[in-house]
Amino acid sequence: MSKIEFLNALRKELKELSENDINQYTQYYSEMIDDMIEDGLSEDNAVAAIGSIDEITAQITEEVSRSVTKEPIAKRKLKAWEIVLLAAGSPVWFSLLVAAFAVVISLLAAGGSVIISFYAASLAFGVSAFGSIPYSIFMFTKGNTAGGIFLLGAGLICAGLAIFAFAGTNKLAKLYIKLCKKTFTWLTSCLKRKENAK
Amino acid sequence: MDIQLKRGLLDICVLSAIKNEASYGYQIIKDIKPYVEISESTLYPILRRLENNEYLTVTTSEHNGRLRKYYHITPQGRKKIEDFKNEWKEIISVYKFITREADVNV
Repeated sequence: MSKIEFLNALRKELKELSENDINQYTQYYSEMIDDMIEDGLSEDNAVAAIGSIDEITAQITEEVSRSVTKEPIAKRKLKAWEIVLLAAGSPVWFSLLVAAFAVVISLLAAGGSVIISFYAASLAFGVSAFGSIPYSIFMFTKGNTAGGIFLLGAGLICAGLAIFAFAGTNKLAKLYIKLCKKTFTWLTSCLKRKENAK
Repeated sequence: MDIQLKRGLLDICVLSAIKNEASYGYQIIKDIKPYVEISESTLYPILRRLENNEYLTVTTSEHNGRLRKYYHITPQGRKKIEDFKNEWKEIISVYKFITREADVNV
């Protein structure tokens, strides 16, 4: 792997970090590779000596999470009036919280069912193609050229649609899974903050 | 070696590597590697942490037509090395006690 390829791959893996952090890390490794090359290594050997992108990213992620969790959230003691207000208002805020949670879950579920229906559609196209193309050959053998050509064309169109629909749905599914993960992470962090406030 | 212990030792090793004169990342690794295992990816977080804690400062200079970062120890960094050396005297003293106890039991 060349230095440019390595730095681009690293930049891609670190896209969750801030632009400043990404630049700092890529500058560091760029300098390290240049120093190794100056020391006599070839560019490929220098990149290989640095380590794999996965190892580096894992180390960076661990370091970032360690620096984030190092300072625990300060637990503030609630005052008496705050406790009374929380208890008295609990039928309101708690039910609102449950409703908000239910809305989020149902939106995610709706998104999931849309993905499933897209997969079903791509499957339907695939099955149609699978059925039409062989049957078109049968029609040719029976002398029904026009019908055979129509069915063959339709089958090929269905096959193409199946491939595009499947590929597109896969990308959509990946985005959806990422969204679900982010949503659950956010929800759990909200719940943790509420626990700390108590 | 215990990970936390190694992390602490590496901090001191990096500061020691720049104690006498400013150095750069690759040179720091070359200086430390004969004594303790350290990789390029391990060094950077250490340098960042030491900089955030003001044990070292960073400057950028031109070298062979490109920019290179140099790390300089601060007075707080020198004090950290001295504190470590004093703590280590105590650890050696405890170690001597533990090993003396083991010899007695044998």
